[in-house]
Amino acid sequence: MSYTNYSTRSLPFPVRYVVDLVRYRHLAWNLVGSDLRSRFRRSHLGILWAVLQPLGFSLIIAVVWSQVFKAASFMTFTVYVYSGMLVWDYFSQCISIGLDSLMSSRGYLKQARIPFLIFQVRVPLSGLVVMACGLIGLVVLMAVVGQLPPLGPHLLLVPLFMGMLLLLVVPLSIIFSIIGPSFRDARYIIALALQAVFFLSPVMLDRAVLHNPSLSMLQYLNPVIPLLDLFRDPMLHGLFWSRQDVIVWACWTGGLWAIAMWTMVRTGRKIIFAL
Amino acid sequence: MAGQLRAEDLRIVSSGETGEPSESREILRRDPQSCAIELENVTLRYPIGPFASGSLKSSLMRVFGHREDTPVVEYVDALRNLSLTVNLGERVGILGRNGSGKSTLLRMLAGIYPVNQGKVRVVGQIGTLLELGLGFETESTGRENIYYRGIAMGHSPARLREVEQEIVDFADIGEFIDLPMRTYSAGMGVRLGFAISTQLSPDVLLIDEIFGAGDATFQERALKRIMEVVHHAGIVMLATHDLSLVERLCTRVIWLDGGQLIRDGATAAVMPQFKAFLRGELTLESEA
Repeated sequence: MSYTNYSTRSLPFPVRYVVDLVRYRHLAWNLVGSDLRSRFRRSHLGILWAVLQPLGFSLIIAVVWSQVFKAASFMTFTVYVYSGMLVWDYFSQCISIGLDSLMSSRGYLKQARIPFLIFQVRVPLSGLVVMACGLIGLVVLMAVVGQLPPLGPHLLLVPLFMGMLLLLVVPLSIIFSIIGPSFRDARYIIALALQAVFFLSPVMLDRAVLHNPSLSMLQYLNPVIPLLDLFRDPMLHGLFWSRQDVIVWACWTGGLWAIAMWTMVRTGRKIIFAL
Repeated sequence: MAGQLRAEDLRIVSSGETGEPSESREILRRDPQSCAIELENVTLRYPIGPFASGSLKSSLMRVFGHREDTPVVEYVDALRNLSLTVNLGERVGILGRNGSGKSTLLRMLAGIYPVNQGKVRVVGQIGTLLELGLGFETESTGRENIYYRGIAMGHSPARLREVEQEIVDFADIGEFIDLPMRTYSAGMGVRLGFAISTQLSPDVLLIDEIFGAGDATFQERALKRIMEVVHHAGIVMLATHDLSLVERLCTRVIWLDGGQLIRDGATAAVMPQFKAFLRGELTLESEA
């Protein structure tokens, strides 16, 4: 059983995926642009929602925390929650929207032989642009409350973190894009799982909670924890990354890519029948 | 009196079974850049997917020993042991009843559906017009969609910029070209899709039914465009229920039923048989 189109070269896996990604780079960029335009099209505030949404959530949480739990500093806490929400929103949306990334692209996939990978990286790439806008909002917020981190080489780690975040999230998007059409129950299970991960991550909880011996294992089992540390350490605290966070990130990223590659090879193009 | 197709007829149309080197294989050997299609004993099983596993209720019932009255269908044989060749300059009409495998054949040729058995060789760049409304970003304008769809077909933005105005002119949808595609009528979508798919002169043009959705004036222009595509040494394969369109456009007809090739030959030879079959004056051997 084989399919050969002599107008395109047939290459071995995984070289084929890299070549396809380069060959269809224009499509990937155009789809990212389309996502961003349609996400904020017909909205009066447009891309500002990339800042306003996490900011609004952070303010609500900060008000509740400061009133109910008598948290120390209202503005410090708002900045802390906002920074966490930027990472969490990106991570969770790449999974929840990624579940539908192939389904919602069936128009393209049933019209021409296009590599699935283009649509699997679409959500993480467009989400990264939204997150970058949110990052600008974070800097403005920190300036407004007078909590800008000290300038230094540690800030160079922030753009590097964005790349590392993408590297961890793309295999997740690949895996869930294949699970989505195959198991229609997945979206309900994953919605619940994401809620559990949210409450087990220091997005709005104090990071010190994880020093509790009964919760310390979460630092290895929950990939969001090292992501939050890798973002907040240079951005909020003026620190370099800890070795433990980098190692945990590397293990998760390597493991997820291995699963993603295995899933891609195993399903091949057969997933098209489920779309 | 009702006629009947015999097993011998089925063997005649299946050129891959003869063991002789086919004409398209010769073309491939002589000039790998030539445009040709060749199928060898292709079988495609379409999985039913999540429906096959049934509901939670039926799963629970099975745990308690309940047996379904009807067997669970896991797949359908969309194409069965299909062998054929299509050579340069041929305009092929694909005919058959609903569910006969016409659309599946086109999608398989486009490389969209993977085959379970057999070999598929397609030489040339493929242009498709397979399903109305598919492959468009509805929130984006028609002009933006020229790029999305053109790039999806493997063309560069620079090349698309060169032909953008020609596509807009051919689609002829006026100011709608700069409005979101969700505001388009079905006919407008077809006009734009057809203009994009054919403007860049694909070597192999695969069209599924939707061609008929445009108005009469557009259909005339579309026919002229298809002739131009063929003139550029291409292949056109058109799946449709519009027999008069096939008679006007196609030099050859492939008749499918139940995923099998029933007839393959000149339009003038196959069309009367297919019409007789539709009128019930001819039955297939498998139905006799």
